[in-house]
Amino acid sequence: MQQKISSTMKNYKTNKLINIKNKAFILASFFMAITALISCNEDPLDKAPLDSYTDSTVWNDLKLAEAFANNLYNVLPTTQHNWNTRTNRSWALSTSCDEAYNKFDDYNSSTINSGAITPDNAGDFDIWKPTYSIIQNCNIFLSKIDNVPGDEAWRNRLKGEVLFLRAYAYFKLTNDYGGVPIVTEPFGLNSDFKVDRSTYEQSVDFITTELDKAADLLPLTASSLGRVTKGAALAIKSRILLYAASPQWNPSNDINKWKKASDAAKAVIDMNVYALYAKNYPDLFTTNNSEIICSRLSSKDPQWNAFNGVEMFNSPSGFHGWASFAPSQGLIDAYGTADGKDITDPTSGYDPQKPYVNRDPRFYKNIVYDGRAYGRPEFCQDRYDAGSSNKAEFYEGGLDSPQGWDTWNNSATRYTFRKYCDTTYNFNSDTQTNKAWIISRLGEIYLNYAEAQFKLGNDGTAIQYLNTIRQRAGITVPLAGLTGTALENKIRNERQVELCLEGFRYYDVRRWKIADVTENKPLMGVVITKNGGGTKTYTYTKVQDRIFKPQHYLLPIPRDEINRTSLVQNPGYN
Amino acid sequence: MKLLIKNKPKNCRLNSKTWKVAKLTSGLLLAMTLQVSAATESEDMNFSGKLDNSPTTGSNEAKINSFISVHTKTKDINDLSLAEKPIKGKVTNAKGEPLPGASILVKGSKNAVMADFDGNFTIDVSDSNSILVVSFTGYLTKEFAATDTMNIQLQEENQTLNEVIVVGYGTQKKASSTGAIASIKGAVLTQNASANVSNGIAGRMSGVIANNRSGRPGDDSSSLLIRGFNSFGGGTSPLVVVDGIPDRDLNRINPDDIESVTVLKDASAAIYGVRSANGVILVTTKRGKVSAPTIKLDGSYGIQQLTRMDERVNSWQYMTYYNELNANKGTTLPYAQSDIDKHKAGNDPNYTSTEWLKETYRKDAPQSNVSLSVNGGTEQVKYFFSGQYLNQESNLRESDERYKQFNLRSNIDVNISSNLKVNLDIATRKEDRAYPAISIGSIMHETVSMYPFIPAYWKNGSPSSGIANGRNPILMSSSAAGYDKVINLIVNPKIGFDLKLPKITEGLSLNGYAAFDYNVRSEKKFTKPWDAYSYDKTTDTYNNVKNSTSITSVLQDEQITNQNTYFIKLAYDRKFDKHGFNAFMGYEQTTTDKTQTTAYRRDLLSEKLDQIFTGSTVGQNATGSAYQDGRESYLGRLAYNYDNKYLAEVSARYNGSFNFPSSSRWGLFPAVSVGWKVSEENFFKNNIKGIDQLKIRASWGKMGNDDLGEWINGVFYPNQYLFLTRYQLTTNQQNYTYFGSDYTLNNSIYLSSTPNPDITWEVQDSRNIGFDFSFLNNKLTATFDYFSNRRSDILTARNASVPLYTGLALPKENIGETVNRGTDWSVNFAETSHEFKYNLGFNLTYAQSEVLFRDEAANIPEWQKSTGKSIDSWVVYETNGIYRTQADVDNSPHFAGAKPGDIWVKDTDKDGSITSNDKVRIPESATPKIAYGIPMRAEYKRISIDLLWTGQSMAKQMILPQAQGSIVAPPTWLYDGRYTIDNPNAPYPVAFNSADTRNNIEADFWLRDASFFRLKSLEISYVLPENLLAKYGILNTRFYAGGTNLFSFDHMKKYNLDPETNNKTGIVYPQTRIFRIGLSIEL
Repeated sequence: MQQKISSTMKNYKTNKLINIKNKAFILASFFMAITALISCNEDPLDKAPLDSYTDSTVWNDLKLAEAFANNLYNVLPTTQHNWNTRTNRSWALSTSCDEAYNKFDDYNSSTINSGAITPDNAGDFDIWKPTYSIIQNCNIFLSKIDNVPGDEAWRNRLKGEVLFLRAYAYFKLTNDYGGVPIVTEPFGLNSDFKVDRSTYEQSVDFITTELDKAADLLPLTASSLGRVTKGAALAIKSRILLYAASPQWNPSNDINKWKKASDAAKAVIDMNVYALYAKNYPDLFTTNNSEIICSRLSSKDPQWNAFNGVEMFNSPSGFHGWASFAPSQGLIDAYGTADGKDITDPTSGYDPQKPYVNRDPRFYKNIVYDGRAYGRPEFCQDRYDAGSSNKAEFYEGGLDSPQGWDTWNNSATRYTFRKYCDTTYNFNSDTQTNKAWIISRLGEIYLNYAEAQFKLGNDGTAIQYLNTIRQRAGITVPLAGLTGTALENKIRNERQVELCLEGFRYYDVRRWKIADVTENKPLMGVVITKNGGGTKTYTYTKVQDRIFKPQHYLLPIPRDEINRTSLVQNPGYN
Repeated sequence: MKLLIKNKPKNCRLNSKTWKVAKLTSGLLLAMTLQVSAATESEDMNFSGKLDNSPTTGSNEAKINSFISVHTKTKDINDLSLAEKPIKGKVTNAKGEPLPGASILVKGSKNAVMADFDGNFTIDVSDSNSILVVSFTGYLTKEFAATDTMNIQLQEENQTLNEVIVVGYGTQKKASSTGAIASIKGAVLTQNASANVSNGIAGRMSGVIANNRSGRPGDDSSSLLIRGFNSFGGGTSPLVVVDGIPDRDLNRINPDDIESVTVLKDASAAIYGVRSANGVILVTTKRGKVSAPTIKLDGSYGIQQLTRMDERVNSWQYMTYYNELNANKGTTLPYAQSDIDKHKAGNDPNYTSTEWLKETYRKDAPQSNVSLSVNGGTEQVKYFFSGQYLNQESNLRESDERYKQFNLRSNIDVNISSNLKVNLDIATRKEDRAYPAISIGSIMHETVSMYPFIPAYWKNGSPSSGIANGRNPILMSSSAAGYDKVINLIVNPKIGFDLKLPKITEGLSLNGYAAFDYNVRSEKKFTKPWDAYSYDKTTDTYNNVKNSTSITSVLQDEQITNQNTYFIKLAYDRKFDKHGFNAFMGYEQTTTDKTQTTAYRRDLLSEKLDQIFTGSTVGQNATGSAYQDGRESYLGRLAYNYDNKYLAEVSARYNGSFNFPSSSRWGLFPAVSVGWKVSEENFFKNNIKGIDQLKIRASWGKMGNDDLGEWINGVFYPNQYLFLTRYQLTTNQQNYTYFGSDYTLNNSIYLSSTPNPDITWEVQDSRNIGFDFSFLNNKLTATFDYFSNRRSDILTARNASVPLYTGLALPKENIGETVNRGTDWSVNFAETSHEFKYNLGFNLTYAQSEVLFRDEAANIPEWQKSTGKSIDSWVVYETNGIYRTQADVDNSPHFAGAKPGDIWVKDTDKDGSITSNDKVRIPESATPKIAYGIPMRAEYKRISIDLLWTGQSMAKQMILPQAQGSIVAPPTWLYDGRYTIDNPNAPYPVAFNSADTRNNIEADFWLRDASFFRLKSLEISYVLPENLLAKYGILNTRFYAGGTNLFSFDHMKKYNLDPETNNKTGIVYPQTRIFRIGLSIEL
C-alpha cells in the first residue's frame, strides 16, 4: 500500500509542477495586465471639487448669482438670538443702553455698560470684521453682475438689492465708528490693501448716493416677502440723513442737513405705499403688515429647540422663559399716562405706588409687568395648578419672582418685554413661530420727519406727525402748544417709547449727545412686596451700575485692525 | 471549540486546501460571532498538511514542516512506527552556560519536559523526524530536528544584530539601516490596558510625543507627534501606513494583531514624498509562520475610572460667590442671605446641594476584551487569523454610552511556485458606538455650569429639570433624551504578489499589491423629549417640563468611503562578494471617493417608533455631499553596502497631489543617507574594548506636506482645491435666509475662499546624525540622534497682516518658515542571570521648534512677534499676582474699573495703560518640549512584571476656570482661594465670571505647569507550569493583572485635572485610569 502511495505521489508531483508553472505564468500575466490597466486609468490627480460651483458657473447663471446675493442678506439684523452672532445685534443694542438689562451678559453688553470697552475687548459687540466681509462679497457681486446673461429686470433687481445691502453695511459701520474706509472694488490676494478712513460726511454721501442708485433699480413692492424694495432704500436714507443732521455729527447745526433729512423722510411718506398698522398694536411686530417697509425673516423650521425662540428668551421665569433682556425702570417711566402726559408732570396723577394704573396704552402692549396677563391660560396650566393664573407675579414670592419658579431666570428688573412675542401659541411645547425683525417701518419715518421738521422750525408739522403715531397707539388727547425744548423732549420721548427694543435708542442717545447723562446712571428696577390686605409696595432699586465716558459715543476700531493698518483710532481709545 | 479537519486524499489540490483554510476562517468567524469563551478542547485536532520534503534542520530559520502526518509522509515505512524513543540533550546559552528550566516540547504533541538545573533533559519522541521546540524566557524560541543526543544553544532575545525592521516599502536589517528609525514589537502594545493602540505607543519609542486628551469610550486616542511639530498652517499628524496602505486607522487595530510598529523619524520617511514631512508610522500585522497551528486565546476584564474628577462649589458657596461677584459689579445681589443660611444649615430638604460631576459620572465602568488568533502553515500556505471583541462602557452614570469593536483579520500567504508568492489579506472591523443624543460638550457644559442648589433629583425621586428645559446633565446623557448610534464598518482587503525573476537575473523580482479599502459609517441620531420636573417650594407641586425639553427627530447619515491603492515595484537584491545592492523602483497610486447622504425628519408620530418614516414632512431635510482625492507617485531607492561596513542609501519619490494646480502638482522628494559601522573596522576591533557595536549614521532628505485640512471649533475642513474659486452652499444655520410669505428657506451660496493659484506643498529639509552603540556583550544598547528640520513654504493664511476691512476670506499660502531641532535617544539594558532576568530602558525626545517667519500684523509690538519663539508659544498678559490694596491699583497702570482682588497685569509697554499690547509672547507652549518613557521589565521564574513610566516637561497649559459661561460654578480651589476683604492675601482673584474683562483673561496667572511623570502601564503576569495543563493540550497559560494611568506626579492635582488635559475650561470627558485582569492561553 505504501508503495502505491509513493508512486501516485510521484505522478502527482510531476503533474503539479507543470500545473504550478502554468499557474504562475497565468497569475503573473494577470497581475501585469491589471497593473497595466491601472496605469491607463484616468488621471488620478485631475479631480474636480464635488462640493462647490466654479467662478464661471456662478457668474453665468442669474439663479446662482441670486443665491450668492441671498447670502448677503445676513448683514441685516434678525430675531434669531443665536448666542452672540455678531452681525445680528438686534437685541444687544437694547441692553447696551438705558433701555434694558442683559441678564446673561450676551453680546458683551456689560463691557459696554460698565464703560470698560477698549479696542481689545469689544468682542461679540464689534461688527467691523463680519461687516467688511459682507462688503467684500457685495463688491465681488457688483463687479460681476453686469456680465451675467439673462433677464434684465431680474439682473437689475439683484443689483439693486446688493447695492442696498452694501449701503446698509456701511450705514452700520458709520453708526458705530464714524467715517470708515470705503471699499467698492473686490480685493484679491495681490491687491494693494491700503485704504484710508473717509470722513463721516464722505461716508454719508457715499451711502446716500448708493441708496439712491439702489432705489432706482429696486421694485416698489417686493417680488417675495423679505426682499428689499425701493422703500427700504429710501427709509434707510431717511435714517442716515437724520443721524447726520443730529448734534453728534452736526455740531454747528447746519440747517441744510436737517432739510435733507426732512426731504428724505417725506420721500418715503410720499411713496404712499405704506400705512400705519391700525389693528391690535402688538400684532404689528408679529405679522407682516402695511406699516413694514423692510424686515428680515427668520423661520421656525430649522430650529429643533426653543433656544432661539423670541418668546423663550423674553418671557418671565414663571412661564419658563429666561427674561434675558429685561426692560429698565427708566423705559417704564418713559411711558406717559393714558391722556398723554409725562409721569413727571404733577398734573398727570401718576402714583409711584400704583405705577401700572392709567398709563400710555403702549405700556400695556409692550411690557409684561406685575399683574399683567401673559399668554393663553391653556398654555400655562401649570400656573393654574399651582394656584396662580396667567397673570405675571413679579412681587416677592410670586411665581415670576426670585422666589418663584426657575428662580435663576427671574427678571432682575421685574419686567419683561411683550413686544415681539407671539402669545397665541405655547412656546414651551411648540418651539417657535416664524418671525421677522423690522428693519424699518412707517412709524419710524413719521418720527424722523417730525424731528427734522421741528429742527426746521415747523413745530406744527412735527406735532401733527407725533399725534398721528400717538393716536394710532390709543392716546386720545392730542399734543398741543408744545415748542422748543419741551417739544424736542416729547419727540425724543416718543421715539423712546414707540421704537423701544427695535435697536434705535442706543444710537439716539448718542446722536442727541445725551448719552453722558442717560448712560451714566444706574439702571433701575423695582422690587414689589405684597402687604397684608392685598396692597403692594414698590421699591425702586438699582439693578446695575452704568458708566459712560466721552469716547463711548463711538466704538473703538479693533486693535487687531489698527495693528495691521495705518487707520486712525477713534478719539479716547489710544 | 472543536477544530476538526479530516484528512483529505493525498492528491488534494491547492484549491481544496485553501478551501480548508477558508473553512477554518469561517469556523473562527462563527466562533467570534458567538463570542465563544476560552474553553477549548484540542485532542481531536488533526490537521493534514501537504507533503514536504524539505529537510528539517536546526537552523535559525524555522524551515520545518508543521505537521507530520503518517499518511502523507514519503519516508521509509520504519519511520512510521509509533515506537517512542528517548532523546537526551542539553540546553545552553551562547556562552555555554546551562539554562535550567528551559522548556522542550515535541512539536504537534502534548509531550513536554523541562531542563534540569544543569540544562539537561530527556524526552520521548515517537519518530526520529520529530521536531523539538525549545523555549526559555528571554531567549528566542527555536525548533530543532530531534537527534539522539542534542546540544542546544539558544540566542538571547535582545540580540539585535539580526533584527529585521520594517522600513518604507521593504524591510532592512537593523544593523545595516542608516535612518533614524524606532520600532517596537506588537507584544508590548498589549501591556497597555487601553484598547486604543495609540495609547500603547506612548512612552515606548524615542521621537514620539503622545498625549491622551480624553478617555471617552471610542474616542480615547492619543495625539501622536513625531519629534514635535514643524508647521503652524498645514496638518502636523504623521502619516500612518498599515501593511503598506496609507491612511488606515492605527487606533482601532486589534493590538494582538500587530507584529511591529515602526516610526520613520528622519529622511528615511522621504520615500513617502509629499506626505512624509510629519514622519511616518508603519504598522505591520502578523502573518502565518510555518508551524502547527498555534491558537491563542486572550480574555481580560477591566474597570475604567476617571483619573481626576473636577470639583465645584456647593450651594451656599455658589450663592456667596455670585453675591460677591454682583456686589463687586454694582448689580443687585441675586441670592438672599436667608437662603444662603438655609443651605449652609443644610437641615431643610428644600435647600440642598448637588455635586453635579459626581452625579453625572460614576466611579467604575467596565471594559472587556476577548481575542483569539490562529497562526500556522506549511511552506506552501501560511495563515494568520484573528478575531477580537471589545466592549467599553462609559463612566457617564445613567448613560447607555459604550463602545464595541469587532475585529477580524485573515492574512494568507501562498507559495504557488518557488518563484511566485501571492497573499490575500482581509481585515474587517465593526466599530459600534452608542452615544447620548446630546453632545458631550453640551452635557459637560451643563455639568460645570449647573447651579449646585438645583438637586439632581427632587425629594420625591423625580429628576429635576436643571436650569431650564430639562437640561439636567444626568438626563441629557441618558437614553431618556434619545441616542446617537454610529456604526463604522471597515473592510480592508489587500491582494499582492511577489514574483522572482531569476531567469532574467538573480535577485530580481517584481511585486505589487492592490487594496480596496471600504468604509461605511452609519449614524442614527434619535432625539425625544424627556421627563424632567420643576418644583415649586411654596405650593409643594411638581411640574413636568417634558414639553420644553426637545422635539422628536431622527437623523440618519450614511458615509461611504472607498480608497483604492495600487502599488507595483521592480526590486533587485543581490550581493557580489562584499558589495551588497538592494534597489527598487515602483509606482503607486491612491484614490479616494466619498459620498455622504443625510436625512432628517422631526415631530415623529410617536416616540415609541424611532423610525424616520414616522416623521413629519414639515421641516424634513435630505442632503448629501461628495468628496474625492488622488495621489500618484514614481519612487525608488538604492541601498549599497560594502562588507556591511560602509552603508549608503539614496531614495526619491516623484509625487503628484490632486490638491494643487496642474502646473505645480508634481514634486521630487529625494533623500540620501550614509552609515559607517566603525566597530567592523579592524583598528576598532583590535583597539577598542568594551564597545561591541558602533555605527555612525547621517541622513538628509527633502520631504513634503500637502495636508491642508484643519479643525476649527470641532469641525474638520479639508481645505481642498484652494487654487480654484469655489462657491459653496450655505450650511451654517446661522446664515440661512428666508423669503416669501411662507418664510421659505432659500438656497444661498458663498465664496469659500479667495483662490490662491500658486499653492503648493510645504517643504521640509530634514537632517539627522545618529549613533548606535552596544556595550557589555550587547547587554547595553543605546541610540542617539540629533535632528534639524527646517520647514518652509508653510501653508498658512495671511490672517494676521491683511487688513480686516478687505473682507477677504483668505486661502492658505506658502508663507511660513520654521526650524525644529532636537535630540532623541534611547538606552536599553538587559541582563539575565539564571532565572532572574530584567531589562530597563529609557527613551527621551527633546524637540524645540522656532518660528523663522510667520505672517504678523505690521504694528504688533516686538514682544508679541513669534520669530524665534516656539510655534505654539502662548501670548499672555504678564502679571504681578493680584492687587492687594487700593494703593496697588492706584499706583500702577490698570484696566478701567480695576479693584483690589483683581489680577495685577503688568504694563509691558510702559504707556501707562493696560491694553492688549501689553501681552507678551513667552517661550512656553502647550506642546511638551521633552517627552520621555521608562520601560522596565523583570522576570523571575514564571512571574514577570512590566512597568512603563512616561513623562513630559517644559509644557504649560492654560486653565481658565470661569471661561465656560457667566454662571459657571467655580471650582472649589478657586472658591477657597478667592480674594475677599477678609482674605486679602488670597492666591486667586475676587469672584468673577466669563464676562469679567479683568480676570477672565489669558494671563500667565492662569498658565499651569503641565509636566508629569506617571505610571502609564503596569502588568504583572504569571505563567503556569507547562506540564500542569498539558494533558488538556494547553501549552501556555498566563494570568496577568495591571492597569493604565495608575498614578501620576504632576502639578495639576490641586486643580483636579489630569496633567494631559488640553481643554481650557474643562468641558471634555476626562482621562481614565484602567485596572485590568486577564488570562491568556495558547493551544
